Amino acid sequence: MSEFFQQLINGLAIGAIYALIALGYTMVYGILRFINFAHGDVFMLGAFAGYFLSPVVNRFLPAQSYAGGAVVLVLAMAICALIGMLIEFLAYRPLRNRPKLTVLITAIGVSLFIEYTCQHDAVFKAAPRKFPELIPFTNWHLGGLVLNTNQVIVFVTTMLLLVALTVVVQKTKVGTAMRAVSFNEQAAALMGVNINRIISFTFGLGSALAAAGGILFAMNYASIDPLMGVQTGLKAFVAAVLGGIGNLPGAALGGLLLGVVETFAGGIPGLSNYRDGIAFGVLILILLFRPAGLLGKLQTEKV
Amino acid sequence: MDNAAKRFLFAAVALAVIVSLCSSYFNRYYLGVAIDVGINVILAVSLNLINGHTGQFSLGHAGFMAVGGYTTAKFALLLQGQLPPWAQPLIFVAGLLLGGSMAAVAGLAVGVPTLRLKGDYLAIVTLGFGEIIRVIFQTTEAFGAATGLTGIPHWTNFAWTWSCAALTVFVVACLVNSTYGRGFIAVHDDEVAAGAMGINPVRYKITAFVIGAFFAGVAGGLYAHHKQFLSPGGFDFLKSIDIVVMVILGGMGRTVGVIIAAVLLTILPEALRGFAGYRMILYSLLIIILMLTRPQGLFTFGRAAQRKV
Amino acid sequence: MIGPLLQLQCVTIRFGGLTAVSEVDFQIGGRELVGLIGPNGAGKTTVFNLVTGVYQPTSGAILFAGQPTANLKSNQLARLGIARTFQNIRLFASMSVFDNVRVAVQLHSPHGIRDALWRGRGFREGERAVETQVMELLEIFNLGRFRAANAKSLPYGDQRRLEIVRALATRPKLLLLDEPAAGMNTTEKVALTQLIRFIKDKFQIAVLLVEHDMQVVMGICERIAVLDYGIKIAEGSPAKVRADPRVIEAYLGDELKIQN
Repeated sequence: MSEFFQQLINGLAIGAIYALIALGYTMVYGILRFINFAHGDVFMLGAFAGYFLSPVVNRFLPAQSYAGGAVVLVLAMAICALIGMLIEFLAYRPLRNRPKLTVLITAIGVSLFIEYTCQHDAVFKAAPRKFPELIPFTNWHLGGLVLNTNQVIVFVTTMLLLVALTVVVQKTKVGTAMRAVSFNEQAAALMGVNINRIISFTFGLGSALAAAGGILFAMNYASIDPLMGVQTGLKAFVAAVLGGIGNLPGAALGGLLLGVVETFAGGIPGLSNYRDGIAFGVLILILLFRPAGLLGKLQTEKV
Repeated sequence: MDNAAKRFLFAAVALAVIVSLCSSYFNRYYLGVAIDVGINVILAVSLNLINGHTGQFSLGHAGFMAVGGYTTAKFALLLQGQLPPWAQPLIFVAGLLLGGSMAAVAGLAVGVPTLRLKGDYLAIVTLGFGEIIRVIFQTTEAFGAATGLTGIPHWTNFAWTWSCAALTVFVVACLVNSTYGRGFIAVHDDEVAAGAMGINPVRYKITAFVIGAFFAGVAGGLYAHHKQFLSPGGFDFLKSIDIVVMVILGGMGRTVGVIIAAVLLTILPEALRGFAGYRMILYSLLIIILMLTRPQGLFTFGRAAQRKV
Repeated sequence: MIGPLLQLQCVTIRFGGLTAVSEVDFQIGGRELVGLIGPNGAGKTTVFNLVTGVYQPTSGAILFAGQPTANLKSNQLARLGIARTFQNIRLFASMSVFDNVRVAVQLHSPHGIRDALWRGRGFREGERAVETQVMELLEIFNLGRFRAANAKSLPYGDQRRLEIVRALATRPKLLLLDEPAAGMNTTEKVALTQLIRFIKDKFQIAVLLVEHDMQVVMGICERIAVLDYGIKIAEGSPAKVRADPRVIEAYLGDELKIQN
């Protein structure tokens, strides 16, 4: 029994990270109706931002402190928000209103560009690096369960960010504009919404969440490399589709579900080798049986 | 036109055989590159039937190639010692056909469930299928698992490769340039209208997937007997992207353009060998710049002029 | 021919709680030109989509040439002899005018993949026959000179005509026209009425015209059915329908609401 709860905790911890990344996919899809393939790489850049920021922050704040960790997190989120906005401005904005597949291929190009540039010896190099410990590490034993600080931090941070995101999207003016643009871009423009600014903001917001996911991921797995965003990004995308792409609560739910399913399936002896295939299996099943996702609504073509 | 198409096929095969007979006079490295080019032509032209003509945007072509490659190689490795040397070409041809057929079955398995999907959803699901195929080979001991298959006999030569390439071009071009084949393009343009004109979109889509996958499988078989080594990593998502870029660069649905693109994109990385560190960075930049400036492809000059009233 | 060509028997379709078409009985004879009219949102296009297999009726049956059409897809219906045009023109955008029609002609071509690859004599003759047929059709409708042009580059009125030609190329028994006068000016409408009458006489087929524009329908239809809120409220000759108080109410009530 305790084995079950241990797996559940592990699954939810990775699922929470998927959820943070999935939110970025889903927000961009909701507004621009395309899959931002480079999103997984922003996640990777978030982790690297944390890696390089940590020694700098430690000059002002003690190493392995919560305050230092929080500063690193916020700074990395800010940097990645800027990177996300820059990508949108340079690569996607000129392609607005072009066929979706053109944008998809561009996004794949951007993703490859970031990956290859970061693997270059003059940048991050291809070899994995050890991620510094941002906060004091302890294991807590609850009955037969082991829970570590990093996992708790993942849950707490994810919760806080989800609440913050909900407030931004539901209560603020810019959030209302985001929802308006996602509902009908032209009508929103006619109502005086500055479409470019809203799209830019959406990319910033999504990228900041991905950066947070990157740092949380790196804290849990301790090793980072320029290709870490490929598999994780694809899985987070699957999570977004699972929840219903374009639907924010759906992305969070999809992320948690996928994390749990993957962890449990990985624990089954025969399936563990297929761990990387599981997410795609889930994706194919969901698109065949419920293409709109768990919380999404299906749109049919009008004849 | 019709006899011209057949004449093209015979002439191309004859030429490939003649060049192959003289192959001892050529530099081995260039000959190898020429075979790489031929394999990529097969891949790009067959993907063009699915992506370009029928508009079913597939990102899983490397998966079909893997199915064909592993099948052909495994078949050869099993039979190689059992039969006398003169039977080698027979094993090879049978292996290529078998590999193509297995890939076609995989194409059917991907094509049928994804019929309802369009655009980027279809792209992602085919990508997923491709990755699943790769993961299966990566975990199956009979196919060498993560280390891959080694010791595959070196049977692929210039003649086989370019004959297969000519056959692929012939099949795709003849299909599309017929009243029947216009249906592929109709399905691409407007599925609902195509249905109302009596075209069965389901059949056309599946046909495109099966034929496209068959030739990808043949290309995989040629690749296996050319490199003499297969590893699952060679058939990852990046290989699919490579082929897609060839199709897009050539202009979706334009056979000649796609062939030129396949040739260029195979030779270019070889030419850039000196800049190994920057090669892939340049490649990804090329994709982005191409999409920003000429999303309709590089070799599509005729279309705009021809279509204006 | 025994019985009517197209028969709707007590056809009802519901979308969730909304009954879009309710117990509609309706039929078209072999060479009839029938109009289906009604105010906006009356269910005309829904009836159209039911007949062409886009929707399946919740209850009731649709018979074409005596055969039930339930569960037939639109391409199977096309094979039986139902052809249609679209309210928002749906030509094959990347093809020439010629190829747009050629695609439709292939419905009756016996040549499939194998012939296209083998390219034997039968195939070549078949292709030539198809080309002749396409050119004949294009010439009848004065579109021959545009044959090589891209379909979407034609003027709007010609695109509508090309869509009708494409539908005729499937050699239908019944031609369904979905609001063909939409977006046309008065001169174009007059030309359209002439065209529809010409088609009916030349090709000897039945035509169902779904139209919002009263002028067009009254001018050419032999019989008119009127829908309002999914219910058939009147049917008969143009004169009879025009005088029907329920029709006047449905239409004028509509306009009064708009004016207020």
